[in-house]
Amino acid sequence: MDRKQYTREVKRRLKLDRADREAVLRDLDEIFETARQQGEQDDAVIARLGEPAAFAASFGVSKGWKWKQALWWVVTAAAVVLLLAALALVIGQHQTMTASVGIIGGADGPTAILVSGGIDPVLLLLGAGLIAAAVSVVIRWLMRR
Amino acid sequence: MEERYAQQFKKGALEMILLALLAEGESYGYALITSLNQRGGPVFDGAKEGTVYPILYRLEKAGLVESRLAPSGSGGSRKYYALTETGRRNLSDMTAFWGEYRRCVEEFLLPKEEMIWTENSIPER
Repeated sequence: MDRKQYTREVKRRLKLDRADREAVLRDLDEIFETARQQGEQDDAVIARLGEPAAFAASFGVSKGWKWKQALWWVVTAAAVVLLLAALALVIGQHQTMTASVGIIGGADGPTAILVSGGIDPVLLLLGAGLIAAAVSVVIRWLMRR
Repeated sequence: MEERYAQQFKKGALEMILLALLAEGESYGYALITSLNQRGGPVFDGAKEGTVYPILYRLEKAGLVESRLAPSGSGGSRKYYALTETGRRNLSDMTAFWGEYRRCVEEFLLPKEEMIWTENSIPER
């Protein structure tokens, strides 16, 4: 692992808001630069700092991080469930449609849509799933900044 | 002595020592580590960046120290730390408590008639 990789690993594991994360990464830069000025190789610094996960953990967790993390998991799980349900409905409809094609032998698209009637539950689930997915992306983004 | 006991002692003391070093004047990470290693002798010989920088970060979060960035020779930046008023008050409280704490612990560790402490030997009971 070189300095760049080490820094990236630390960055990935810091559970801090953006300002704090930037401050810690700057500290890490200063550590490497100072060691260089002392004639030390990056490898030696990395060995002394230890695992990136342990180094990142020693800076603790920003306020609100755990709460955001939990919310992210819930919304992401909801998005996955809703999208899977929409997919299952689509497949189900497709099967009944092809089945009816087999029986009646001539049902076309417009007929199938007329049969389902009202608001299409597939569209409803798909919409809800996409909204949940979008919210989960926003939460993730809020955690990263 | 087992390493983990030594680790526990140092953990508690390092924050106080860093505050005390900063009470002498503004300083930065590498200089603080060097002072620790030189003045702490074998006890703080092992003080490393991975220990000192996180403590400085937490002290700043807690408002006990403040920092400013200045360009370093190599084109990067160097962070200078200084004690805040809160830090100064905390350090004097900690110093007072440390004296009390030390006396109290020694009451248990050293039987009264053997308070004279010889190097490398713990008085036998």
